[in-house]
Amino acid sequence: MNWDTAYALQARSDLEAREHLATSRRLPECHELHYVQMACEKLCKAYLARRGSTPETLRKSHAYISKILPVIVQQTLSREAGRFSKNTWIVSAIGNLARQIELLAPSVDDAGSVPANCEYPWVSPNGEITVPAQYSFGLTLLHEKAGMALLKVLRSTIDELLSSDETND
Amino acid sequence: MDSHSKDAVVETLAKAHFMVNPAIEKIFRVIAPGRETDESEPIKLLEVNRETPCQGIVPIPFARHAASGIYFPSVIIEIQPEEYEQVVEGKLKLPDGWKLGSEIVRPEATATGSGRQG
Repeated sequence: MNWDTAYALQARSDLEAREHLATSRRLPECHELHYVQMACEKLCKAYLARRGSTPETLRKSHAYISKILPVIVQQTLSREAGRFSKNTWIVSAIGNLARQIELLAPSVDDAGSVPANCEYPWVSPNGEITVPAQYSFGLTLLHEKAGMALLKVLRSTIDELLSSDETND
Repeated sequence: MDSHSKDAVVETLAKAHFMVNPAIEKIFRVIAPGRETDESEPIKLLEVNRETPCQGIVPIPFARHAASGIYFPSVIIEIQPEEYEQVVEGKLKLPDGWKLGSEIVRPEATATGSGRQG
């Protein structure tokens, strides 16, 4: 198995876990968002692996979601450019969303200015300790049109990566 | 121009990118000297995008997609306008010996501007 296939498989599993968590009304949103962030990160790493990034480099890279995800969406929409010519807001909106998703990782915090993350408690600007499970991340865009488009592209891109790997094997 | 040729596919892909992403200001073809005519050599586009994060050269590879007229694999590089200046000045290098090629002109129907959601 290649590294790009391995990352794509784990991205698919993360996305399935996110869908499972999203349907549970008892769980805080941090869990769903954590799996969205991990699925996006692993999909982006699958693309980096395909270009030859080493496993060591991939493990250390985190802040690539906002760089790579909008390009993946752009490439996907370009295949149906005629249909999407009036929806030119999508790539930009998903770019904004991708940056918000990227910041959900504890290792990406905009030089300390955005400590909120889906995994670990942090100290808020007012000095209080904040718990992810009790925090509202305000990522409503994920449940709007751009978010729906993003999740759809994530699923289709992961499937495509895995099917092209099967074809190439 | 043969629509299956590499030159034609470059035009098709660049035009589609201009159409779906108004934040792209310019698109240049990137050339691999001595390999560009190889069928297996991907199409490479360098896109100057004012909304992409400033993170240097990050080539993103895509498989060919014949159903939509993309008959070659492609590699997309997105950079900020100030990074483009660094590429021109030679301060920011393209990988694999690649060279900056000609600019692909934006189709008139896809003028820049921010799209609206809806």
